[in-house]
Amino acid sequence: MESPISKSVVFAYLSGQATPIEIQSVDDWLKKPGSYEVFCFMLLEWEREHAQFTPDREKAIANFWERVESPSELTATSYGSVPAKAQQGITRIARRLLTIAACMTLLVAAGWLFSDKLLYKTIHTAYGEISRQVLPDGSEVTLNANSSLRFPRLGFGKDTREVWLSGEAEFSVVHTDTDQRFIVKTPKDFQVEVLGTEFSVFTRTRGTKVVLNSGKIRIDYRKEGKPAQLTMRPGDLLKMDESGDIRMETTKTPEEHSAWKERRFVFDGTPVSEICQLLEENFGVIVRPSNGEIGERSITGNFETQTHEELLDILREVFALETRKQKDTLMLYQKQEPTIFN
Amino acid sequence: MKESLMPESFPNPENQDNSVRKNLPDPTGRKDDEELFLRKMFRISPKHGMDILFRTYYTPLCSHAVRFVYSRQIAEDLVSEVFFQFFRTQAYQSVSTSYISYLFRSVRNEAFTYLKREFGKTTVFDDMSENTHPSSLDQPDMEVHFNHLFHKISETVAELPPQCRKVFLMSRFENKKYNEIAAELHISSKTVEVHVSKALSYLRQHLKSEWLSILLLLVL
Repeated sequence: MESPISKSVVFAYLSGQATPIEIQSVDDWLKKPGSYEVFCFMLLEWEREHAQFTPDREKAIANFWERVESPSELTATSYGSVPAKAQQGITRIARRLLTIAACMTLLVAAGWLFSDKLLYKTIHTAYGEISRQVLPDGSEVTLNANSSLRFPRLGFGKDTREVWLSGEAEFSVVHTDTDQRFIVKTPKDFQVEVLGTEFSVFTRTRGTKVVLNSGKIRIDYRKEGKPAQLTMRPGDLLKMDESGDIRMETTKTPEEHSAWKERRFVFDGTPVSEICQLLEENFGVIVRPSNGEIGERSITGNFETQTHEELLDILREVFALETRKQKDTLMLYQKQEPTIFN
Repeated sequence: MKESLMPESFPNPENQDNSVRKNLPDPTGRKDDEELFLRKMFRISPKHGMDILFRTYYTPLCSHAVRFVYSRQIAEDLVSEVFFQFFRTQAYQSVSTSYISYLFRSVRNEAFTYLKREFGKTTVFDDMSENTHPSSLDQPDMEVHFNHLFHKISETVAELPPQCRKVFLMSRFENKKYNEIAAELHISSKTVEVHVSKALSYLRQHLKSEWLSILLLLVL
C-alpha cells in the first residue's frame, strides 16, 4: 500500500520534531482506514533506529518458554501434548491435594459421619475469588467467583467421571487410557460430556453457556420434556436461556469467554445491564441502572480488574455516571451538574 | 527444550535483516516479507514461529512500551505478557492484520491499563469534560491519542528540574533502589524519595488531559 505521507514526516512526527502542519496531516492520515498498518511498519523501523534501551532478549525468551511450560500457569495444557515437566508438577500437586483430602477424610470420619461429605468434596469460591483445582484424574478446573464444584473425594468410578457445577468454570480434561467419559452436571436438565478437551461452562440463574476451545463435546439436555443431544466443535458457543431454549453460535475468540481466569473482563458492545449482572454474580454487589437508557449503553474493551470497585469505576468514568446507595442496591445515575440542585 | 526451539537451520531474522534493510529503497514491502515469513513459520510450527516473532519484535516493542511507562522492567514485563497472551490465545491463527500492528496495539493498550492503574486513581477522572462527546470519536482516534500521550509523557519528563529528572529516571527507568541512588548522587535517601514523589505527582497533573481523551475513546 502506497502511503500518502512520507516516512521522513512520520519519523519527525514520532520524534516530536514535526511542524504543526505535519502533525495535523499525520493525525488525519491515521484516521483513514488501512493507514494504521502502514504506520506500524514505520513505527517499527523508527523504534529499531531509536531504541530507548537494549533489553536482555535472550533472558526474556528463556523466561517466556519457561512460563509457557510451567505447570503453575493455568493454561499449561492448552498446547497439545503436556510436557513431561508439567506432568510431574501436576502429579505433585495432585499428591499434595490427595494428602490434604486424606487428612480431611480422617477428621470428618472422626467427627460427623455424613456419607455425602465423606464421599464428595465441594469447593465453593467466595465473591471475587478465583480458584484452580486439580481433580483426582489430573484434569484441571478453574472456578470463577461465587461458584461451586462437587466431585468424588476418593477418585472417580470406573465408567464415568462426574462433577457437579453451579456457577462458572473452565475445564481442561485429560484423556484417560480407559476412555472414561467426563461429565459436567448442572442444576438444570443439562450436562456436558467429553473424553478429553478444554471448554468452559457458565451456569447461573440467568442462563447457561458452554464454550469449546478444543476437542469435541456432547451436550445432553431436555427439549419439550424429552432428552436431546447436541455435539459441539471447537469455537462453538452454546447458550441456553432461562426458559431452556438452546441457541448455538460460533465464536472467533473462545478464549475471551475464560478471560475471567486472569481477572479480565472482555466487553464487546456489552450493555451496562449485563455488566450489572456480572457484578452481582462475581462480586455479590447489586447494581442497577436507574433507567433503561443507561442500561442499554454499551462498552467495548478489555479490562483487568481485581475488585468490583475497579469495574464500577470504569462504568462511572466512561459513562459519566454516579452511584447512589438505596438499601442494598447501588443505583447508576447520570452525573448531574451541581447547579441543578441549587 | 530451549535448544530444540531454535535449531541451527533457522537463522536469526533480526540480525540478518538489520544489515540488509538499509540498502533497500522500499522498507514497507520488505517488512511485509518479514511478516509473510513469520506467518509461514507459524503454520509450520507455532513454537518456531513464536520464537522468531519474539526475537524479531521484542526489542522495538520494549522500546515503544518504555516511552509510556518509563521503566525498563515494567516495559519488558508488559511486552512479555503481550507475547504470552498472543501465544496462549493462539492469536497467530486469528489475527487478520499484520502481527506487528496487533502487537503494537496490544502493547499500547497494556501500557495504558498500567498507567491508568498507576496514575489514574486519584482525581484524574473526576472532571469529565462535557465538550468531548464519546460518540463523536472512534477507534483510529485512539491511536492518534496514544501518539500524543507518549509525546506528552516525554515532554513532561523533560520539563522536570534536572536533579529531579535524574533521580526519577534512575529510580524508575533503571530500577535502582533509593539507597543506591542516594549513594551515587551523594544525597540522602529522604531527598531521593521526595524527588521521585514530586516527579510522579507532576506527571499525574500534566497527563490529565491526554488520558481523559483516551479514556473517552474506550466507549463506542
